Amino acid sequence: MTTWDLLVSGWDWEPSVVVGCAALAIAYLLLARPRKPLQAALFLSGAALLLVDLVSPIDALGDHVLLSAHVLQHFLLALIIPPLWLLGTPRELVERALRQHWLAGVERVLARPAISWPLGVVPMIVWHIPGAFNAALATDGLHIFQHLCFLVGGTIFWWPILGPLTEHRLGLLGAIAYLFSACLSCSVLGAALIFMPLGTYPAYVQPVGQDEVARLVRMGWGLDARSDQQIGGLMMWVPGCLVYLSAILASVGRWFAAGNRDEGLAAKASAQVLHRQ
Amino acid sequence: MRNWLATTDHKRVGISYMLLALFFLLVGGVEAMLLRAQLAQPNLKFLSPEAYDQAFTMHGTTMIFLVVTPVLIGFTVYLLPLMIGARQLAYPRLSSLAFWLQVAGSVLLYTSFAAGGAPDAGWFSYAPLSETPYSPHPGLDFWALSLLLLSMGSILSAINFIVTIARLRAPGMTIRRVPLFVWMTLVNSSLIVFAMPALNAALAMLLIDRRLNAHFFTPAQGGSALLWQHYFWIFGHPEVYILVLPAFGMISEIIPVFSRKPIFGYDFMAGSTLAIAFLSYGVWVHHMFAVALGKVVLSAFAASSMLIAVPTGVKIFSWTATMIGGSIRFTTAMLFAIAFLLEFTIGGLSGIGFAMVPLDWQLTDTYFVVAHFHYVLFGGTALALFAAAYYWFPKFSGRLLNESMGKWNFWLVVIGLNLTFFVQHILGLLGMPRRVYTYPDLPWWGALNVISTFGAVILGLGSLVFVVNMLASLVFGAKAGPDPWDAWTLEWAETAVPVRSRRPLWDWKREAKRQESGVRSPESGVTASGRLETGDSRAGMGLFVLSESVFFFLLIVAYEYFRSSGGAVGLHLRETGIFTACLLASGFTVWRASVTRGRAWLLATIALGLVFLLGQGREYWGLLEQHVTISSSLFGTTFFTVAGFHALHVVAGLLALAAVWKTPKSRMLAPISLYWQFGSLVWLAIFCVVYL
Amino acid sequence: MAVLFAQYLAVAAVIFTVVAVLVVYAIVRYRARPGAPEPRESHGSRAAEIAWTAIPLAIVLGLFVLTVRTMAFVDAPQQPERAPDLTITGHQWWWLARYPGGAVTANEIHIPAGRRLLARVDAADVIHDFWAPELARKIDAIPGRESYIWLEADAPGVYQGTCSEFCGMQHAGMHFQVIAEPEGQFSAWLERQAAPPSPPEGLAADGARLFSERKCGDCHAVLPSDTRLLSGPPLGHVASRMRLGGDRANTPANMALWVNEPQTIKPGNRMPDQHLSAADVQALTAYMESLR
Repeated sequence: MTTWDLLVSGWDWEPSVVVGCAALAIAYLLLARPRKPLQAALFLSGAALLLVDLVSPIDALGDHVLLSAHVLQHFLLALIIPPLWLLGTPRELVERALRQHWLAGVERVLARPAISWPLGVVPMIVWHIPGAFNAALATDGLHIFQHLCFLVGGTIFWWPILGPLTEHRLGLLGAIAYLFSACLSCSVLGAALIFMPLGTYPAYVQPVGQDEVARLVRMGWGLDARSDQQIGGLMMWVPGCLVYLSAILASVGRWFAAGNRDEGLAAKASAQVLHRQ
Repeated sequence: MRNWLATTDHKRVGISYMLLALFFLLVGGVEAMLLRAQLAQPNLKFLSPEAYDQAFTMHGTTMIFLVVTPVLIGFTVYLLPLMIGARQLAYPRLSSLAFWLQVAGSVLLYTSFAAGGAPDAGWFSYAPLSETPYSPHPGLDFWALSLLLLSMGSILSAINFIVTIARLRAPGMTIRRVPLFVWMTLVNSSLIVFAMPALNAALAMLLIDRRLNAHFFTPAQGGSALLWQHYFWIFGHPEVYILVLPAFGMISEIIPVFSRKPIFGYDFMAGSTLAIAFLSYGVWVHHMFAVALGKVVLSAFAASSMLIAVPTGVKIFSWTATMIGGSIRFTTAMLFAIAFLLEFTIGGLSGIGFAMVPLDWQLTDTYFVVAHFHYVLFGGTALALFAAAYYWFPKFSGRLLNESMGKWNFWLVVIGLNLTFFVQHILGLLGMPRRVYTYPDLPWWGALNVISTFGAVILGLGSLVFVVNMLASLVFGAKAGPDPWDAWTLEWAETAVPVRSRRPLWDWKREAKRQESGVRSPESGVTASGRLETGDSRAGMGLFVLSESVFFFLLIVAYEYFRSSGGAVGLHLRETGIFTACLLASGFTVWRASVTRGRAWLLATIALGLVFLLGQGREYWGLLEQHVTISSSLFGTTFFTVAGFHALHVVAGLLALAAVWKTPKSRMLAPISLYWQFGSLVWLAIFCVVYL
Repeated sequence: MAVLFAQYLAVAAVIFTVVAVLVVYAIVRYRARPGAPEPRESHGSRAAEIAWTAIPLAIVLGLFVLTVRTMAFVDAPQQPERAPDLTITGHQWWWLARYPGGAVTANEIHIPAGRRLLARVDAADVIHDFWAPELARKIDAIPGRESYIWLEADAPGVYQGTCSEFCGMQHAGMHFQVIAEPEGQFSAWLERQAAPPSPPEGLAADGARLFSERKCGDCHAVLPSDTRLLSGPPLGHVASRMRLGGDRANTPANMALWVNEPQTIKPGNRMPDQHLSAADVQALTAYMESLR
């Protein structure tokens, strides 16, 4: 099998996933009635990415052959798709939804950093404990639950940073602390993965049942089990941290822009006062 | 004199730090001269190998920990409150304590000379060379202990700075308006809080190895030499940014004033500082590129190391752009600042060479590295310090430093610096390794070395001119007014000045001019004296707790790392589980105690804490009976280290709780309660890792 | 690697020139002139900021690609699929080289010219670093770890090397030579080094007896089959080496110095001065000279 073969034939169009993503997109277009094309593009690309993440060869590779592919899959689920969704959700939709009292109550609880942070970070840690990880690989139901944990947990995690309700977002110092500590946890996990002994996730050391693909990966791409594990750990660490760092810098940028607006207003105000003398 | 010894006034503490650093600058300078004298020609016998090894170890350790760190802290202690319009630091007594820790550590380090020899394994003391079989004399114990004291002092200062900036800013001084020096201090202090514990963990483990016969870093008994490298450089790389960020802050104050233009791109300057701090935790392996860690790991760290150059470059361009379009006054301070730009750029560019791994494979551990770090530390931080000295001396002493001597100072230092260190790039390329007490007579090696030594002499002369200038100006210098440079930030203000922008003093002076010409000013608003609450202790304790968390985290990682070597025997899960529950319960009781201020809850906490300690004692006894000690196996080493340090923290907590017993309404109860809760949480983590 | 360095140097030079030109321009054009007005306030320009973030980012990306490509080419696999061609072990303060056929030597490593060899590098005591600048990248020799490098000399010759990680008192003196020679010569050398030395005669035999009486064998192996981990270099064929201790020319005078007063040559090394009588020194030196 060549890389091209894999790219062409490695897709597993699981009906529930396809239907689910399509439904999500349609529901968005109907309910959210986005006015800004950029917003719609963000949300829909998030949905598209979700589809690709779950049906493309990434999924096949990640389930059976490559740890790094599996890490990539989770990375997208937790760190890329939720931010895209949140940035693409128009404020009006959320405000409308929150007119329901119980939803407002739920949002109030989940938006607290003390709740949202653990809901994002703890599943990430727990699901990488070898027992849990290997069990999820073996059982389909558990695997779906794992993906839901990342997706839902990720969305809750990013709510105080990128959520559409800007007044519920964290202030600058809080955001920095929030993101930095999450990044640290991610880094630790990644570093652990790099330095852990090879048999921690045995399914990837000697992949079974996917001989052609395994051959392509080991021979064609030259990725042995150790490199694979290291790349997996590094992916969690470096690109993961870059995501958090970008979020921090974006927060800083936003904060300065707001500040400059205030400074601009203050300067105008005092200039006016001076002028009147 | 007594006033100075017992002072908590930030101005005096600041000056004390600076004078201490100046003294050790001379000592470290003498050490450098000795090294350069020995290296002036091949095969000289001026210094024996032992003397040379001690000299270069002490030179590095002195310059980093006894000169640059305290002088930067000293400047900050003096200037920070003034710049934000506060009257004092958040914890004045803490700043005094930190100073005395600095003195204690410095003295302890130099006592080693009298106690069998100074440390001689280099300023980063790689294991197993630093272990007892290869370094039996106590010099390294002195090194480790003194560094522990010094780093504790740094952490306390950093906590002080963060809380000061967070809480004591004058009204109107929003974080967006603070001088960049303050911003850099904030970021730098966070770096210190998170990075120094890594050093502390490594030093603790080394001392336990050396004194208690443990095996963290001795491969012959199953330890790992690489673990020391990792832990040290996890500290070591942020450390180099700790040494340079405040210098960046100083330059950011000086260049605008002498260009008569505000700093170009304040936002990007602040943002890039955050990026640097962030990234600095992810590049440490670039000090270990010569270790065979595999292409994947090395590539990743090459990428991050190259990435960190970008925000640094942003700063250089910002400073330059500040000058363009300005009206530049060439005072000595400004001369040093301009030289800083060029010299630091050279240092930074030589650094990028090391990020390119295959180049590092030839250049690391040669004089190319020595050239690189001296360009960034001397051409960078030291030049910035000279600039800062000329700039703020009138503030500290009321007199101006002499400008003609200043020009001599400047030219001697810059010429000396380049002569000494530029040729070292070439020596590195020619293959001369570092840390050698002599070298073979290869073509050009002798000639370049003698040029370097000559340069060092000039550099030394330049530094002496500075000292003379300082002493002479203190006595004979022209008196300076409160604002000799026509500057913009609050430290130059004589009276309280309202803060409505990044340049409050400029606004004030413009206002004053308008008032003179008859224009009525708007309401002058609130005066800029800081709020009087000195220290919400909880904030400081919170930072301390974070710092200790990193320390424990690394010890737990060491435990986990050695777990696979087996030997986990004789642990009692159920009993320890019960004692764990007791400790967790005490976390609850201490919270109730801090809320209700009731003695009953306090008593409950102390009781539960004692029960926990008894349980730990039982567990240790059981292990000792099975001949599991800190030196018997890696399990013993790691277990007793992690559990032992935790137990020590519990003991300290109990003592603190007992001290508050008499006055449960004391303000101290809240932070102590926070500390205690942290102690329980750490134990929970240890319990999960060790017992489950 | 030279190409990579040239590329790096070019980039660095360009960047420095840009900065220097800007700085010089600033200080010349914008020096304070008497009577000049206060300069216009400029708080920054978004365009400039983005430009000087994006361009360095691109440069750095380019350098990264070059780096990874060169790395892949130069670096040996750390889990190699075949046995190494030789094993190099760092000791305080000398280098041991052991070959699969049993040949063992110290400080003078022979390799066949024109062939790429896989070398395993480790250390017996503290961290050292094996560095033969013209032949290979540096590699840290870490006790408890195995590391692998490619060692290749294009042409026959004598190549210098040195230890490149501070390892104690005689780190500066831990030199070695790599001698690349044609295949035939190399095989012959291997055979000789693997064979036990010929039995000593005459004065050398007296020296051999002294050698065993004074227990020199506790630190120095003479037979290539002796694979104990010892603190001194093997002496089985010491007389055939170009240098003694990696440094001094191999002459009887220097040999005598090493036998009796090693502390004068490398102060701090592990062999104490022996305080032998002149006759004993002569005998031992003769013995050493016989170990060809």
